[in-house]
Amino acid sequence: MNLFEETINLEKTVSYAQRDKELFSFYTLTLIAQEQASKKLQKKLWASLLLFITCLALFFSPINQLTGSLITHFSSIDMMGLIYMALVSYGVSGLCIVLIKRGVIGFR
Amino acid sequence: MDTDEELVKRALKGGNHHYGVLIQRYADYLFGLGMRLTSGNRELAEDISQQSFLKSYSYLKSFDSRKTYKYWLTGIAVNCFRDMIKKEQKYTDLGSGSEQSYSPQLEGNTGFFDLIKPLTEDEKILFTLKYIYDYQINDMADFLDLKPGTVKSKISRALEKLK
Repeated sequence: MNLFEETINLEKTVSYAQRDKELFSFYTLTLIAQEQASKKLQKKLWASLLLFITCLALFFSPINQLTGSLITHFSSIDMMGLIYMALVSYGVSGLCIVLIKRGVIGFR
Repeated sequence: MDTDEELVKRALKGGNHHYGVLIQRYADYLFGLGMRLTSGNRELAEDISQQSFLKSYSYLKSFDSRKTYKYWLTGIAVNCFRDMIKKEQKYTDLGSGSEQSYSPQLEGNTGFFDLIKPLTEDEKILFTLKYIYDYQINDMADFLDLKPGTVKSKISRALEKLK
């Protein structure tokens, strides 16, 4: 056996041990918990910042103009026509479902 | 005794203490790998094993149970070592045989550290994984994100240097 193999074989028999495995494990878990907490805090901070910016934007925006345009938009909608169209389309689709279930309309 | 895969699943469900069991199970293994890669530098070996466990926890969701946890952890540790070298270029000075790299608490075979001294960091990794841990070429290629051919040529270059 040459020196190379001898050194390799000797190294294979060496076992290394952490100084204090329990303390190492505890410390690593503490670091993990710390990291998780900092990530959570970061998320909360971003959410708060976003909320703050939204509030600020609303506060400084021409709110009267916004609400006015919304009201005029909704008031111009023909509600009766809308309800009538919804009823007709739901009715037709319901009828189609019934016919399909009864096998009146078949798909090939 | 719980298998590694079971412990990983439980840790993912939010039980950090289950991950603690995994840490205790592989602490010595990673520390040994770190000691060999850093030529016996205890502090760096401890840093590598800790960083590996932290990274492993961060990426635990991506753990592929078709491979063993030990295999996966080895890949992470090897890459932690490479990152550490990139960050701290001064480490190369430590590894090249200064007094600090052979700390008095060293329990290992300094003959091995002397043997791999002329190798580059990548060659040290490949040589250690192949001859001490008996990993296959494909595994090492997987760890270091290299082609199997590159791994083979790096190993044969390392052997040339050691002759």
